[in-house]
Amino acid sequence: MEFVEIGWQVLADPHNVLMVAVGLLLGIVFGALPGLNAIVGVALVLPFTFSLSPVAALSLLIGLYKGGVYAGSLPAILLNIPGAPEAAATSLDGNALVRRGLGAKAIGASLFASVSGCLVGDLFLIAVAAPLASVALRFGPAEFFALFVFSLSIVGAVSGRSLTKGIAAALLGLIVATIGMDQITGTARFTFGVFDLSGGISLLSLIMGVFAISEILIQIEESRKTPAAETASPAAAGASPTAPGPGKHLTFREIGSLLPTVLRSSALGAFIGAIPGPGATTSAFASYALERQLSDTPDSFGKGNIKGVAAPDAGNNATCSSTLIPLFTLGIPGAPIAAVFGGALMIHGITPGPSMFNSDPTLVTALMIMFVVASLFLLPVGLTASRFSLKLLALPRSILYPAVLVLSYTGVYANSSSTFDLIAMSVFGLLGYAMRKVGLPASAFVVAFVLGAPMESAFKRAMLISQGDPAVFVASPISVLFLVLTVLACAAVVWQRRRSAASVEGRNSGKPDDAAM
Amino acid sequence: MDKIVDRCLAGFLLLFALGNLIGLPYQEWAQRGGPKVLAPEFFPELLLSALAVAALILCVLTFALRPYDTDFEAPRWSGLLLGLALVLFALAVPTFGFVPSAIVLCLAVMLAMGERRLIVLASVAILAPVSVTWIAGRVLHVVFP
Repeated sequence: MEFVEIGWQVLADPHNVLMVAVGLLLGIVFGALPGLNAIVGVALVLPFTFSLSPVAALSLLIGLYKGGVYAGSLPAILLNIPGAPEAAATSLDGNALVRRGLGAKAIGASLFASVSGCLVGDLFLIAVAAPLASVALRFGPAEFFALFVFSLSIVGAVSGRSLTKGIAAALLGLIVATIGMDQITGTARFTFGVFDLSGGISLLSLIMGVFAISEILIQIEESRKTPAAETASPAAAGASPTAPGPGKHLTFREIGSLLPTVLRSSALGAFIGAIPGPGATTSAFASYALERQLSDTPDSFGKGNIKGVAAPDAGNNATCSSTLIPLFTLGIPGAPIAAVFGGALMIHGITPGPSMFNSDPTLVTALMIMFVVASLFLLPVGLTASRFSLKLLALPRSILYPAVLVLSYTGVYANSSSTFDLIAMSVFGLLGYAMRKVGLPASAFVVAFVLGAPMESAFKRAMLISQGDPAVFVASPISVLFLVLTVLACAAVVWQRRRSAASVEGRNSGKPDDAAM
Repeated sequence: MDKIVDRCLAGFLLLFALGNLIGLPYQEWAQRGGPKVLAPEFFPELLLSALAVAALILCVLTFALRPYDTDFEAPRWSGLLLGLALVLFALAVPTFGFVPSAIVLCLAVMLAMGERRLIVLASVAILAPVSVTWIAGRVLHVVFP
């Protein structure tokens, strides 16, 4: 009853609804541009939300996130250039449909699957978040510390090709989080006499540097490698994949036949999203693989099967909401986008985690409602904006990227009015670029940075309670469970990677490849 | 080449960890009666030790595993130079101001990306910083240096 009441209050404010629509539009723009994605979009817009109320600001970011994830499939389908890694699975059949002149059908299936996936993910979030948060409230500091160790190991293990490098990146993120004053003694750590470092590293400059700036640097390199790609629009290619014509659009009959695929993939995507670590790319490929396995005509996948578009898009979009479940219920960002959202909540004075449900139940309910509203709005906004966004694909990158750079720096300066944050952002941009080049997963680094302060706090509180006895971390069955799960999960990742590497190697030469360690 | 890059990475991480472990200049809060684990340096020391171990494992793996495959991708001069240009831009802002520095940055990025049309160079390099800072100034009341 309270849910409905708060829902009416939130929806009665046209400002919130308008923010969702604006967010969706911006998200579609960011998602449709190859190289930019939902994470970069949310990070870029975040500093401009300070003057908004928390509900309006988060509505804008939710819309942007959902629009960005959906629109990542547009360049994947039309140009065979995935706007984001999670859209790569969609390009397999989506672009094959475009080449057969069925682009409008592919885009229709993508939109239908995205909206359905989003809604299933939202319902999963609403159903699971509150009960899980009430369980998490019973955790003590030792249990939380063990949970943080577990989450970081998982994120580190699955976010790159090497487990060791993933864990090293996570440790670097935790070390960077300790820069500044110690929480208990006020002693400066890693400041090297620089006064600006005594307050620690600004979350926004780190996120913008590691995600946005490094991405732009990589894209600038890529554009120099393949200059022809910058104007490779469908129109330029001489094709008109979305032009209306008989039999080109998705029919109601086809929607009906896609429904089981979409529901299956959405359920799988929502479940995978709730686990810290795997993320949207895993959801998309797992949904695609499941649908291909269940199909009577598995050979048609990759050659323009409409289910090959719907399955990954439904799975990918269902992950949108459920990937925030660990953040909302445990305070743990299980994916890079959750780390950015966690930052957004903190910037607006809300501490993500189970206490949020007690301290600010109205805001939590409003957030859940705005997730559903954004999913529902995605259908009309997506229908309208898809055509417009196609024109963006023709925008030269030599004009786009300088403008995005200026916007990034303006946003960070607007947040703190500190020129030091501009330097920090540039340095973290270079660091993110270097990490990508040597294969250190930047997502593990950022997630660890966000978790750093609460992890140290949990560690110190546990130690205070136990008067310095480290046995406190194995005293409770819950913390033992998480520590055992950490070891098992790392072992499973290593075993699974060695097995898949060995099978690939076996097909080629019969020798095993151990690089997955 | 992949092995050498990962050995260099492991060496860098090890040096970083050991250098900080040896040279941590924090005051010993623990000596004033509190347990060592609550000292300001304890948690960073724990992390640096774990990082040193991870670096050692990474180094050992480059010798132990055959064949060795990694994610390494050679950086290009354009990316490195633009990264350094971004640091220079951030350092130049307090002295030269945000808009003039941003105009130079835009020009540098566009030239690096192969844009050679004078009218496009001039219009984008001037319009992008001026319009974005004007909007931020009007909407968010930000005063730029």
